[in-house]
Amino acid sequence: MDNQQSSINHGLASTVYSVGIVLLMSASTAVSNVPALAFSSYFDFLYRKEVCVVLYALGALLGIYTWYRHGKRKEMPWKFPQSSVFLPYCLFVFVTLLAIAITK
Amino acid sequence: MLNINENVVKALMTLRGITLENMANLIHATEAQLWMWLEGAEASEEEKPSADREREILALLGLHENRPRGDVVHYWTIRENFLCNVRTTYAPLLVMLEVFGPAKVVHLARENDPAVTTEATAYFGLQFDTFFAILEVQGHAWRSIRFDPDLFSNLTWASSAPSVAIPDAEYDKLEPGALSVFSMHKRIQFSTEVPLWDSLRELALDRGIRAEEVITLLQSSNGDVLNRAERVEGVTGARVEVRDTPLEAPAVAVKLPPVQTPQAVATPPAVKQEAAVAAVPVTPVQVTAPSPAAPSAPKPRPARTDDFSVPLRRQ
Repeated sequence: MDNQQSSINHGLASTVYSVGIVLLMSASTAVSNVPALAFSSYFDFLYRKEVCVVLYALGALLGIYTWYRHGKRKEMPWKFPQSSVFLPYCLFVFVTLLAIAITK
Repeated sequence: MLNINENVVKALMTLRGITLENMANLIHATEAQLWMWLEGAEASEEEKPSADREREILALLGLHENRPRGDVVHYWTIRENFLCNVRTTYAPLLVMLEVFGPAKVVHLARENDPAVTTEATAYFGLQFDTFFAILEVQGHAWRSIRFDPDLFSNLTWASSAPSVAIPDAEYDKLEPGALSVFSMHKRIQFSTEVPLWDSLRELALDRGIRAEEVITLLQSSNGDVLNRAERVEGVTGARVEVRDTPLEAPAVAVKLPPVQTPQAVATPPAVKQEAAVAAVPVTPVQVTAPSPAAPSAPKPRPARTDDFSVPLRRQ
């Protein structure tokens, strides 16, 4: 069976993913330029930078996995449900936001 | 060896989500009686459901004359756990394919993909020889769905484009009885024809034929396309020349009588019309009402056989 692309409209899913990326970029810009948003100003802990690196790496892995699942869903929507794409994407956004929040 | 009746009943009960308790309640029997019958346990006639109860069960499950009804679209559900054995989970579907197969399958997809959802549900349309069925597969939210027609020997995709988009409103209301047989047939036929129309369009583009020309041709010929000097053979592009010669008259087996020459025909004598009219006496004709036709004897119904005595083929 040829894995042809289905005729399903994935526009709404793409919009949701774009909104999440914009949110992450906005949060990163805000944390970088607003001194009042620096996490270390209020609370600091040992190995904060190392934890931040781990969170960024984990977020990157989750982002790559989400992108992979999204591509597979476009090819075979009957095999890869949208929930298996959306839930890893939510984790990606949460983990990356956490990493951005404790960066400074 | 188990009678195929019980296997099909158990499979359909699982696919329809009917528990033993519910079935016993519906047919006014005990769970023990049903269990004795379905498991093929040795028991007396009183410990098993009667023949009438068995027929009720078959009717409840949508079986008519030894096969699922063809006037409705059956609705089956299979639930996949996070760690599920495909062979065990899809055993009921395997039974139905063994007994009533082979079948073709299409994926019924929502026209607009929902972005935010935590449900992993997929719908498939199954086309058997005499009936249609919708298979709802409820998977786990984090895992991919294991259903794959390649795992079943009697199941194939209806076409190379397996997904058929359904309008959102219709998709959200998919439930038992929502789709008619005509609608299912239309969906599956559309899925089968889409790749063929795509191939036709590519072929026309390669040969420089525009869609307007095809439309004009079909409208002008009134569908009589085969009498053209050339016609395209299938979608392979091979052109076959057809001569515009009339078809040969088929051989006639009946001998026609020889044509009589004009001399052999005797001319009839001239008849005076007035004398002919007077010579014919007019007798009154009594009109009687026709006797009512005797009612024809009803055609004997074929003997009903609820016989699933075909042994289950083992793989």
